[in-house]
Amino acid sequence: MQQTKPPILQLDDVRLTFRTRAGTVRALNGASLTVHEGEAVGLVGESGSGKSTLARAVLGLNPERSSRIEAGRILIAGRDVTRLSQAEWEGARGHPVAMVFQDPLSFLNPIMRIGRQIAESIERHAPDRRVEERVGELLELVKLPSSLARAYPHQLSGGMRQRALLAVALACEPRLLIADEPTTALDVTTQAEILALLRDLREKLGMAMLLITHDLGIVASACERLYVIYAGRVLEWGRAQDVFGAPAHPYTVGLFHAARADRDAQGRFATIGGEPPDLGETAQGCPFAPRCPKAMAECARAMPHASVLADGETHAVRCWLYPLTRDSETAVERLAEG
Amino acid sequence: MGAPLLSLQGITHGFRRSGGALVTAVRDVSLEVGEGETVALVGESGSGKSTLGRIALGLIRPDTGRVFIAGRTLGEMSSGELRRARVAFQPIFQDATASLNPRRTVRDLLGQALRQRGADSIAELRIDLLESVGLRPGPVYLERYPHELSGGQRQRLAIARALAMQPRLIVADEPLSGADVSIRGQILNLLSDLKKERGLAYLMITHDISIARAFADRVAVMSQGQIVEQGPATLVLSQPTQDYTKRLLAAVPRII
Repeated sequence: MQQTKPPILQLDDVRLTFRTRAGTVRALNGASLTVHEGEAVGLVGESGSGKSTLARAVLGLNPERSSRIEAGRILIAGRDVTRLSQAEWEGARGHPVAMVFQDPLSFLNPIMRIGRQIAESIERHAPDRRVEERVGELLELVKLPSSLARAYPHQLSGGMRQRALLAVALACEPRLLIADEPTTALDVTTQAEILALLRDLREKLGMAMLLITHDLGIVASACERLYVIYAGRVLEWGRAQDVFGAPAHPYTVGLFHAARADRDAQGRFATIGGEPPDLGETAQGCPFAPRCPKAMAECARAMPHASVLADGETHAVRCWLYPLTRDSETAVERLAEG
Repeated sequence: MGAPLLSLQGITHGFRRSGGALVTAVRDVSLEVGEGETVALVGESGSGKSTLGRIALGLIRPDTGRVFIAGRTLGEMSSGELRRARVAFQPIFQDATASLNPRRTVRDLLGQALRQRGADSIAELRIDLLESVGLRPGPVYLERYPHELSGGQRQRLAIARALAMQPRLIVADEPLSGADVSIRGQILNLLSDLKKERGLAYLMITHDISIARAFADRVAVMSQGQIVEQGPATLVLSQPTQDYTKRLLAAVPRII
């Protein structure tokens, strides 16, 4: 196993709720995840899985009024940011994490030239006397011609906008880039270009990346490790080659078949039955149990701790189908006691 | 064999940009869809595939070229024939939310379509339709509004409404783009069941190669307003002859 670098991001059993008119929504229900320095990690989930909430929590972007981290911790380069207020977030200059989003237009100022927006980001996060020069360097880094510094966002194509947003994000010299569905709105050929650019940037800058996506194909082509999230819980994680080679959780298995549009002997397309869960309900057990073809009695009772499937804890699953490891035995004891 | 269900011949169509410049969206395109056949129209945004879909539905009259429905042009038809021809081709869109009136219940939405077709025993047909798209038991859904359904259920409702017109061809424009991966299989199974049970033909407009591969009999690849390659799905998607098709296939990220 390769030597592990220190974590740049660590989420430890994070529970996050939103208060809505319809009641409390448990968006994250004990989510744990680690990204090491320089590493590319995928976070795979469907809509409502909590993947974007998780990303926003890392940057303090969830609305302060209606969301609350009830338990757990978020560490960025060892610093606990779980309880930072909005004001403290805004003062957090030189923050080592930056983010790009699915829809760059919502995050680029429509009436400000691209160059000016990059310059502002430099002035805010990494003050530099040679701002003009830095803007040029950043545009070159994301492979945009320097003449585009004078363009407005609406004059750019979708792929160019994503590059421009990347330049703004990279201006703060992040050690971790969180990319939330960065290519979902793009055509496949443009998507391939952006993925290649991200790979290139990570190599050049030694930057870690947390890539949030619903698309397993993107994870396969861009990430070293991945986490599968469902209803605010991480169900399975490991090195991409291990998880892709032998997906363990019935949800992950179903997701793989569905993503490949696999068919069974009768020619039926693979499906995952039922509907995604209602996050308002207090779920004791595994959130996937109501849709799981292999559900057993214990699945509804409690969520198991991790069963490690590969040496060096590189592949693990939270599912009662797998033999318990020491960690999960403690969980069972705790359950018996409680 | 008789004339194809849909035949587009030498279709060219342009739009005027707000600045006044003319943009040719579709350039001399010919395409056929036979009875019960599934044709995937694959391309990237701006390739003209959705414009061609709208021309097939009669929503846009092309600048030049001819649209044949079962061997006859729209111009040759009487008004009654024209009305029947129109309803024989039904659309399904990517965003079911946008195509379903939010102020109408499922009961109203389906009732309206059935009345438009001039159907009798609407109440019974309504339940049949709901159940044929997997919204079972049907009566449970009647009083719901579109926003009270999940994304997958809304797409099923949109399909049910299209079926109310007893179409022979469904023009489906990115019908799965809005659906989660776990829902995709359900919708694909539903579409293939309907094909088998009702002999439906599909013109499936998609940017998603995996769907074309899994679902289509034939594939037409569109780029910059033109069909650059068409043929049997298995052939075009495994041994493409055109550079553009090769580039498109190479760009799709693969699951190992």
